Amino acid sequence: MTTRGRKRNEPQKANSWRTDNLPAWGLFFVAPWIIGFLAFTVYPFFASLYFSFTNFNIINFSPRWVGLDNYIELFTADPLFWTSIGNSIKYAALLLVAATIFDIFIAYLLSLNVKFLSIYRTIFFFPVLVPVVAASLTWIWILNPKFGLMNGLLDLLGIQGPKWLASPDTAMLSIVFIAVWGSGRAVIVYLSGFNDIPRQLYEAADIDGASGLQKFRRITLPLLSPQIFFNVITLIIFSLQSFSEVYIMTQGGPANSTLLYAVNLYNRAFRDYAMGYASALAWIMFLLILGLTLIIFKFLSGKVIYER
Amino acid sequence: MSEQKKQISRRDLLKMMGGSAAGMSLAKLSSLGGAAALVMRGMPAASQTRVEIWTGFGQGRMADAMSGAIDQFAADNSEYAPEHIIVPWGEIHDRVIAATAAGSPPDAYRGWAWIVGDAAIGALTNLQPYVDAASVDLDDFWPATLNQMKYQGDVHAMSISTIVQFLYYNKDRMREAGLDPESPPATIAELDEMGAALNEISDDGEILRLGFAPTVPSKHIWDWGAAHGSQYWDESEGNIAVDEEAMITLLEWYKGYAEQLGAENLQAYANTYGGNGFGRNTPQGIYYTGLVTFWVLGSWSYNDMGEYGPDVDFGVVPIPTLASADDATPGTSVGNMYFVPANCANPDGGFAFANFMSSSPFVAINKALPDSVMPSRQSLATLPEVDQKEGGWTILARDEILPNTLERPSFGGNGFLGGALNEAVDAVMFNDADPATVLADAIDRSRREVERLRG
Repeated sequence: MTTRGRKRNEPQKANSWRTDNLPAWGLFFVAPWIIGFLAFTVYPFFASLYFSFTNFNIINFSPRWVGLDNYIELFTADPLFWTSIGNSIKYAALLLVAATIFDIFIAYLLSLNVKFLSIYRTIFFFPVLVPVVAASLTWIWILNPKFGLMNGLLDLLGIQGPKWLASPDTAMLSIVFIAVWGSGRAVIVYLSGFNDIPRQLYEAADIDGASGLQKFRRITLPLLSPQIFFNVITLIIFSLQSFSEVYIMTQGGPANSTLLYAVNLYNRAFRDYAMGYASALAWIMFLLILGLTLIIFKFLSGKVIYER
Repeated sequence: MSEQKKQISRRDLLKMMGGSAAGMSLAKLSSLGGAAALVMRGMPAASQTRVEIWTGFGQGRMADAMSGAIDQFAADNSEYAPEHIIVPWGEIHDRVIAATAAGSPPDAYRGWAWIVGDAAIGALTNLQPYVDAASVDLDDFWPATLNQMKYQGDVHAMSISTIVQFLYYNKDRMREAGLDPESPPATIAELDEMGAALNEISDDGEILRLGFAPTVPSKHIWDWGAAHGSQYWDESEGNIAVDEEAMITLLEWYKGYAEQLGAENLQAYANTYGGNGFGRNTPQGIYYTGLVTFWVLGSWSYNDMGEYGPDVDFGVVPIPTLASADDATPGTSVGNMYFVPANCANPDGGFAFANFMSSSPFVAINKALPDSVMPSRQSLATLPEVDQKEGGWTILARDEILPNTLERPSFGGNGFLGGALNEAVDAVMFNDADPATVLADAIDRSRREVERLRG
């Protein structure tokens, strides 16, 4: 077979458009992504590191080098830094415990062979599909202290409901509660883990007379450890970066009780236009997440049991 | 696979690239339509230059008034073709900053006095040369408003109107409580006493109807600080100059309300009814349903009362002041401003529009007054139409409040100081913090912010 305008067996020209140029073609087609990655990920990553050592606002593109001043100020003279970092760690810890227990429990229930299972699975995954803004605005009404659905239900039970988002004592618990409600993605991961556990192990345990708790501790939990490990890592990253729900529902209040790190960072960057300072905050957050992730890897990865 | 299928001809490549370019062009064009909520006018004629104007006047009587003002500007200035783009009020400032950073801001936009502080980061065009060239009579502006228009001595904004703060009160509720509606509170002590008499609290502390609380509808820290005798800024020193004694008294006043009504109960009340500006634009809002008796809002709310609560018998007076404070003023005033962002395409057109909005009698009568705000130029504020407005609010604002009010400061970092003072209020109300300590911290942090903005 001949190509257009070329005779059979005619030697190819060195610069012809042939299959041996496929790598170049590949690069050509992925170039938009590579350019986007370099421009919108790699460059901002290193630019923010540079800006964190400068006094820089968003308009006047002439950052002034201030060395470690931003870092020194946030560690020594910015009470909101410590408030927000404490709030974020508290939020992450509460969410980690609550979401892990809740998600595993729900995934276990969804792994049972009962009627209308697909409907139940859909119900628990549905919150993931709801846009954050819509969900947040809905939760503001559900948790309304006077007219809210939640306190209405508690009232039916004769319980005086808390003030939820209006009280510094319950505002953090409220946003953790809402985050747990929206953790259907983790439920799916746990569900796949449950379904991967061989039934024969439970049958053998039954023959040996193991109790339900023993089966959970000796079979379920170890074999679910890869999913737990994955979800713990992603949950910590998610919780330390949480922003939208809190910004919409409380803006960090009342009395800074829900001022998460990302909300504080946003305020410094886009309310005060302190981009250099906000960059320093961002790098502290990056190092915090990196450090926590490495610690978890070091202490948990050896305990994870992968099936062979 | 055949060899022919593995190859792409140069012609095919050119076709692909041409198609991609056409697609990208179309995508770019379509995205222009999504950038703005609404464009009010068409393409400029060849002899005209386009003036892009951003405001948040998207609906209702204020939108109609804005359209009329732009039509008038176009009629009076044939060399300019104004394009009015409507941006939600809550987003307009952030969007302008982003557009300015990107090099494509509007030529003029509508904002408030505190935005003058953006001059500190180079986000505004210095209008002083334009003002000088146009021989604008700056002495015609209310002194408080003129101070707000300036940054480091130069004009950076043209003010169309000035908002003063009123204490609104519901006369029907006062009558219910046996109070004389024709004797509203003039001092903070009277306000405290009357407000307490009008509170309706359930056995478990829930606020059913509020007489008065300084956090509802919002803390109004600038206004209540001024009413306690505090200043905020010393232009000669170029630094924050808060009257600490007055502000400590103020913080203790807020703390007293937390002790009396419960900070969480007040917050719960705000969470319950606070949506959409406490229902400002609905007949169900707290102002129109008797859920609050005394509240502080800008004069802009006066016409809202007539629109959404036509049956409410209400009155307005200056913000009560602390009787013992010699320097106390009836709150602060806030100029409604037109700004010309830095590096806009048509600063001449932007200033022409801003100056028109600031100086036109047509705008004063057909835009400022329907918005129930006072024209910022004294010559316009004394037009016969101003005196003829119903309700007497114009006389109160012009003759009693504006000459005595303290301007809301517009220095670079004013927003940070406001945020820090609000945090101080929260700290004393919710955490029982020591007023002097949290105030000192707020001032200290804000001064550092002012220094940072100076670069």
